[in-house]
Amino acid sequence: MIEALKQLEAEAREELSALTDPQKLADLKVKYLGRKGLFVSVSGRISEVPNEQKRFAGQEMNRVKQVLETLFVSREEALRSADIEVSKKTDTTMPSTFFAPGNLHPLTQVTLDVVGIFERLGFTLVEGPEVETEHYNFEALNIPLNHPARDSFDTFYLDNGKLLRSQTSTVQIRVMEKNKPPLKILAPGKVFRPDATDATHSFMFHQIEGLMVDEKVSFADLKGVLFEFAREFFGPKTKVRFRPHFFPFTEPSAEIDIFFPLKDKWLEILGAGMVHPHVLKAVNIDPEKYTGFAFGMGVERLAMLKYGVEDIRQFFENDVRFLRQF
Amino acid sequence: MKLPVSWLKKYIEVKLPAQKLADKLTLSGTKVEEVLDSSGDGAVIDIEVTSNRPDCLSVMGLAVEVAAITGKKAHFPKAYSVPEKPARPRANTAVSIHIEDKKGCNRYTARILKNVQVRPSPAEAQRLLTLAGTRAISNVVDATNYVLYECGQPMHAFDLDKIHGEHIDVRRSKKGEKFLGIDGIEYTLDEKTLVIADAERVIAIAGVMGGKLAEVTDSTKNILLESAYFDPGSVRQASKKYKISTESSYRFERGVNPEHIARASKRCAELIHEWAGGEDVSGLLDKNFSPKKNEKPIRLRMDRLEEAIGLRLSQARVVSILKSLSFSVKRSGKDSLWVKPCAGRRDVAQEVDLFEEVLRIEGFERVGHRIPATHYSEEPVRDAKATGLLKLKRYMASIGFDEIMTFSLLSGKKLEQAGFSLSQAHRLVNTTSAEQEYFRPSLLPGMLEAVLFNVHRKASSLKLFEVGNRLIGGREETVLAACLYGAADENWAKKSSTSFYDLKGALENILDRFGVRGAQWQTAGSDSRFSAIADVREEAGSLGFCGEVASALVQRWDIPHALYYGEILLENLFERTPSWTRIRPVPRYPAVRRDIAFIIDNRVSVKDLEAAMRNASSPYLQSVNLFDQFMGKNVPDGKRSLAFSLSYQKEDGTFTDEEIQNLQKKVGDNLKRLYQVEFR
Repeated sequence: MIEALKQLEAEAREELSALTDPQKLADLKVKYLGRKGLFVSVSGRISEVPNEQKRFAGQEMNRVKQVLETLFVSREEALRSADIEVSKKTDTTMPSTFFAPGNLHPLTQVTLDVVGIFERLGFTLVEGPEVETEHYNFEALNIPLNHPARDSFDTFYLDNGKLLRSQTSTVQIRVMEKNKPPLKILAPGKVFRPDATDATHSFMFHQIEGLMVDEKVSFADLKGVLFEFAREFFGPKTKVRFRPHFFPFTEPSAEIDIFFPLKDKWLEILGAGMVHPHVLKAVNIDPEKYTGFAFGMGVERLAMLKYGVEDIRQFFENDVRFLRQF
Repeated sequence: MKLPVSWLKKYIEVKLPAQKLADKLTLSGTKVEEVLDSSGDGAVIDIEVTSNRPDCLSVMGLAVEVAAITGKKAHFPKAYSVPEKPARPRANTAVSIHIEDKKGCNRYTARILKNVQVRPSPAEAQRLLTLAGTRAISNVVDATNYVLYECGQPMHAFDLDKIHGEHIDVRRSKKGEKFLGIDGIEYTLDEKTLVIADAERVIAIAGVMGGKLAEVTDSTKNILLESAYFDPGSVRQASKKYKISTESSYRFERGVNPEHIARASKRCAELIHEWAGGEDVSGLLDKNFSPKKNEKPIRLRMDRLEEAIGLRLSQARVVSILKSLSFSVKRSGKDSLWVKPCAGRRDVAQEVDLFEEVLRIEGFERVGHRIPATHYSEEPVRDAKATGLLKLKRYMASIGFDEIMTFSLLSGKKLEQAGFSLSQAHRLVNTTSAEQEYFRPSLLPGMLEAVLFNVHRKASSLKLFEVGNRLIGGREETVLAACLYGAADENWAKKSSTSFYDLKGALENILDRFGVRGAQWQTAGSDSRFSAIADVREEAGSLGFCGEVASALVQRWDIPHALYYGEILLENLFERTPSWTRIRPVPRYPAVRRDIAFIIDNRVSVKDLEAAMRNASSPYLQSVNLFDQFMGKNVPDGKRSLAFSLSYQKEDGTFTDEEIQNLQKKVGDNLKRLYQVEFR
């Protein structure tokens, strides 16, 4: 009989935990604890138990009855509260209502990417004015008046005799006038060139200029920094190529290409070079003691390559359906 | 510069296929744009020549480059290596040459060729010239062009019989003087154009273009052949002024090889003799020329070379590279060299130029990569604005604004449509487009245009910002512009429109981030562009404004909902961002809240009411928070019902009921006394 009681307890536990429908709970209670239920029926067998065990069997009967009653009460409560949950249930598939953050312009995002890479390499962010003088835009950068080198830097002039900078290299000069080496700076900004507007040209665009001046800076430093930049920005497997070029403010000068598998060709991404001694002299830095390198890149060009934008004009149309994709 | 490979092969052995050669040229600094017909006899390598390398604007110059990168030797026609003595002018051949402007022309040579027969030039010459990109004209003209492409020296042939007075004058033009170009156009000259004139008339703009008056034609018999050095600046000025760019002006502007002037004349005379017959009756007329003294060699220090290029090269290797470029080199011990670049390489003027020559021929790929250490100076560069701008942009996006970028240059029409007068903006003096006529005096026109663009594409809700520079009265200032349009919330649970107060709140948050405390808003004076506008300012001056764009302006732009626009002048804010926050202890006793509600005349501002409440219960009143405004039913016209929640705080204990009642009473009394409020 004691065995039968234990089995009854186990069966009741199992059946109760499987039960989810509150309607059937009452039926189950009748089945186990009703006047003609299983418990009564098993208890009836006490007469068959030998006398010396009767006391123990009685205790067991009381224990099991209590357990069963507790089990039914707690199950009943559990089912009732679940029922309440269901009645005020959240439809989790309804649309969210928290406000969405805005988007940074893709050119800002590219700028942040570039800045992040160079900041880790020890470069400090600086900026300078868009309205400039001949001195900062040309003369201090070793671009004399009436020289064909100026053809590459067509420039807007304002009615007050000033001009709109045609490159961010102006910031190099401003920083070197105020601060002495060692220097490692990065200057993003807008530049302007009178240029017919088409899919790849805009009269206003953005550049990021970098400059390092210190003792014993060599072409190997230029290569190391720009190589790491290209691979961080375009991916670790990017093929990078350094090619001689000409800029008035650097010597030797280089253009940096990356191999673009999508187009199956080398594409220019950066101009760079060792700072020309004339430029250093113009800001009273001794070129015998200090050397350095400078580089510049077009933000629109990087963004077009990175995001697959085909027309530069999209950056300035400000269509939110375009801007919100980034 | 188009380089026909078959022309190149006249001077140097080339075994590489054209494409391979092009790659090598590119990697040594002679940038190839494209290779045309790369396999055939007509292979042409199209090269982008940078402005410092006029020597590469000739087949011979490029042959020197090819020699340096392939190790082969280039051989040029004899005329280029044998100096010719100037002839003594003879009576029957003499043309008097007068160089009035020595600065504009430091050497002018002429040669008289008689009894030539003008006809088409040989087929091979025509073929090469066509490949190089010029049109074959006649044997005489083609010979001058041939020499131009061969060595880079522009030549000009005049019809001798059309030169008046047997006289050539190199001078500046007189103002208003006329010149009829070979292009058939009559130019009216200014007072400073360098020209070639005969006894009476201008017959060429020096180095730019010849004239109709002395043009070689089919009937020409006698020729004056000009080869000269014209000042690059003068040629450039004339070319820009009259908008004429020719193969000749392009080369003079960049500087021609002075060593070639006489020799090219000889070479050209030989070609004309070969192709057109006739004879050289004068020899080289060059009497005004006095050669310059030898230029000083440049010192190259081996240790500086290594430091600069980051690559160790043997002295022998460096010597061999420089010699392959036709530079003359003298060793000076083991540590340095004395180098004289060849005459055509005037871009090589100092030691770093030699470093570049050595490095580009050795190959950039030979240099390793190194990540330089960062050394900190005693006064490191700090630019709070540069970093602050990027942080601000990130913040704006985080509170829901999309960033736009509009053009800093705009048309007068757009300025006026946005309610600006043209006199407020700086004009660009050399613009070529009406769309780029003014530098923006405000970011408002660009913002309006962006809003319009998107509204016309069915945008129902816009939160936009731009950070950029404006220019007013010569002052360039960085400004944040922000706007709200249409719905603020637009979903199944919440629907609301943006309001003036939303934008005001956004601007307050921004100022708070900059550490601006105690800024005051005040209703601003009238501005026809805004129907409601408030300035935010502190003692030092205005910080910005916020307004509802006037319906007149909005309707013209065809915008259906209200548009709110605000600006913050960022110029001085970055410097003052507090870098050191000091905390205050958190209150130990709970605050007590009480509400107060009353009806009050519309004209009394909430700002004044708040002040009245604070003044009455200082220092215990910690915050005054307007939580309701009501107008309409049961509130008389011209009045509004306002409800505030007041929060009292004591540092050293809790309030008794009586204390709180007293404070509330003081607040109420003060409101009544000052503004005659009616309590509800």
